[in-house]
Amino acid sequence: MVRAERAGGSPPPDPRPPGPVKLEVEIAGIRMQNPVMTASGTFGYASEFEQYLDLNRLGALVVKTITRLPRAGNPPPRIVETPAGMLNAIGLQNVGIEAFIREKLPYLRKLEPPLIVNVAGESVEDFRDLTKRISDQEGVAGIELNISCPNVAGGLDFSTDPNLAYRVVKAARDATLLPLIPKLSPNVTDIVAIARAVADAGADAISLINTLVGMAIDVRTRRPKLANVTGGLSGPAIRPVAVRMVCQVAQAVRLPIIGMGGIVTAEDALEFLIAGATAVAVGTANFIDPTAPVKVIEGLEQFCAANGIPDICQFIGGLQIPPRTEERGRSTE
Amino acid sequence: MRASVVFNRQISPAYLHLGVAAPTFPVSFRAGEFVMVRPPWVGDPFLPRAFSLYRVSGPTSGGGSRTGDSLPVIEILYKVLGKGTQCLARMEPGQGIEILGPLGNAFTLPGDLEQAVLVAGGIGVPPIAALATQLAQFRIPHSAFRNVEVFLGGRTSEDILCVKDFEEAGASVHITTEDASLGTRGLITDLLRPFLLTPQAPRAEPRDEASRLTMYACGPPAMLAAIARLAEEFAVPCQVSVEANMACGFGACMGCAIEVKAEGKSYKLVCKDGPVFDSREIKW
Repeated sequence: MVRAERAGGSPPPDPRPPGPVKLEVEIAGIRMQNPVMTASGTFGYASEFEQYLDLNRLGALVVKTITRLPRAGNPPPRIVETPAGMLNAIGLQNVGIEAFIREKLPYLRKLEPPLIVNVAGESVEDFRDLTKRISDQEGVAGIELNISCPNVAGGLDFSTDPNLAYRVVKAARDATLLPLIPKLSPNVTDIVAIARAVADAGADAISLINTLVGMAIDVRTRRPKLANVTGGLSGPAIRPVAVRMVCQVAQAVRLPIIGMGGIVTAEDALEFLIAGATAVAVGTANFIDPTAPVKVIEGLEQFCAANGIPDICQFIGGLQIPPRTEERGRSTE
Repeated sequence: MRASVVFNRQISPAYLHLGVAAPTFPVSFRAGEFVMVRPPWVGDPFLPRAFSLYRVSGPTSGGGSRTGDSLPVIEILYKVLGKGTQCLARMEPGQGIEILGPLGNAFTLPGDLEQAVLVAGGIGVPPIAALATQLAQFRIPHSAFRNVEVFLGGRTSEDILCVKDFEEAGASVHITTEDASLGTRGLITDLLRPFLLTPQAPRAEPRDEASRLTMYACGPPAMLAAIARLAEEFAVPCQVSVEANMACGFGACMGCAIEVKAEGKSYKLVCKDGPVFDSREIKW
């Protein structure tokens, strides 16, 4: 339409900048070709996805939580569908850190995107030891501390109490020079207090958010739909909560944030960036479409190109809240 | 992969037969494998649904839709039970649908197989029908393979599907329904036990003789547990195809755990280690 109006005049200036869109971001020294990561627990150990997408296109890889010893996980049913999401109570089923190092790490190391290993402990000492053991390995770019799994007895405690959160992150901090990224629970009254605590303890970045504790009941049997009774809610249903928490923390704490919670499309990812996240992670969407992260990356590129934005970083923290005018207040009276 | 609905027709009051054309789907699937199916829904329902493959027809014309021409058509049978299948039942020819697969493992055929006993309860029939078709191709000259006995069970005659498929595959079909509206009255095990006691069924002794008869079963959990007990009692190998809540279908979510016999707690994944298991492996 613009072209038609200018017909006959000089050619209109091209609104799009020359060259490709710059998608690179950096989190705590981890350089990523784009801001799209995978959320721990939704991407296995990457090999499960190799036949569906080019793993080397990802911004970074975050793999499923590793614990000190192997864990069998919770009894079934472990998952149940809910509106725009799902509840899960997998119970951190994993092969344990030694088998991870032996069997999974060699494959992951060969992939190009930075590898972020997610660990969970049952005690402060556990977190320290796991962090140490992982940072002794080659090919690890960072460590995400799962201090917020809702499905393991005691797991939640570390992320709902600022003092405990501080102690865990401090112990891990003393055990490594690698970037440390605690993943926080949304099941708290004041997310900022927890974020401040982990920042004070020496965290390099913060992952927001883990799942929200939820429950679903079979009305015929009157039993919980999950054997674990409660589970973690994920998927688009939790996205508004996640965006709000990213926004709150971004305004209070000077640490980069990895935003996650129900991201399915590029626009979902942009919400998080605008709210203040430096990178995002695609989680539950991986289950319903294993190509979802690549679709988000392509969508971001297209959105930037179509809107004349040369660098994805221009979105980060770019939230604009219009001032409330008295006019508006009156008009509703 | 992106696919499109070729047909979606009712075959009995609660059951439908869905055919979708998918450009890159392998025609030579193995009985027992499944697909994840996701209509273009957003939000609620949210997760794809797992269905055992019933048939994959080669690139042919027909099916009544232009989109189906010259593409492999994946066929599944389903029962309208919940939100997902209700949405699926409303799909019309030409509409887009996402398919992931084929996924999971398959039934295995021992080389010295003499007799296959196929058991299906209700909507457990599609992979069993697929197996019967596969077994019909297994009848090669000079092999020891003799025959296929099929046992179908359901609450009423409306739950008995695919009888024609089994007959076309040259199998002997035995039917039982709980209300006696078709076949004999009772549960599937009421028919199966006497059969396993007859002389034409290889006995438990000697052991190697028994291994030439294999049972294959798919159906509701209580039925599978009963079949597994029978298999143990008669020392007959038995492969079961089980069902579980699934989010991904390819081993990432770890939601579809099933407890297996082991020291301490141990789970396998229905989507990746199954859906077909040796009945002795599962902790029923």
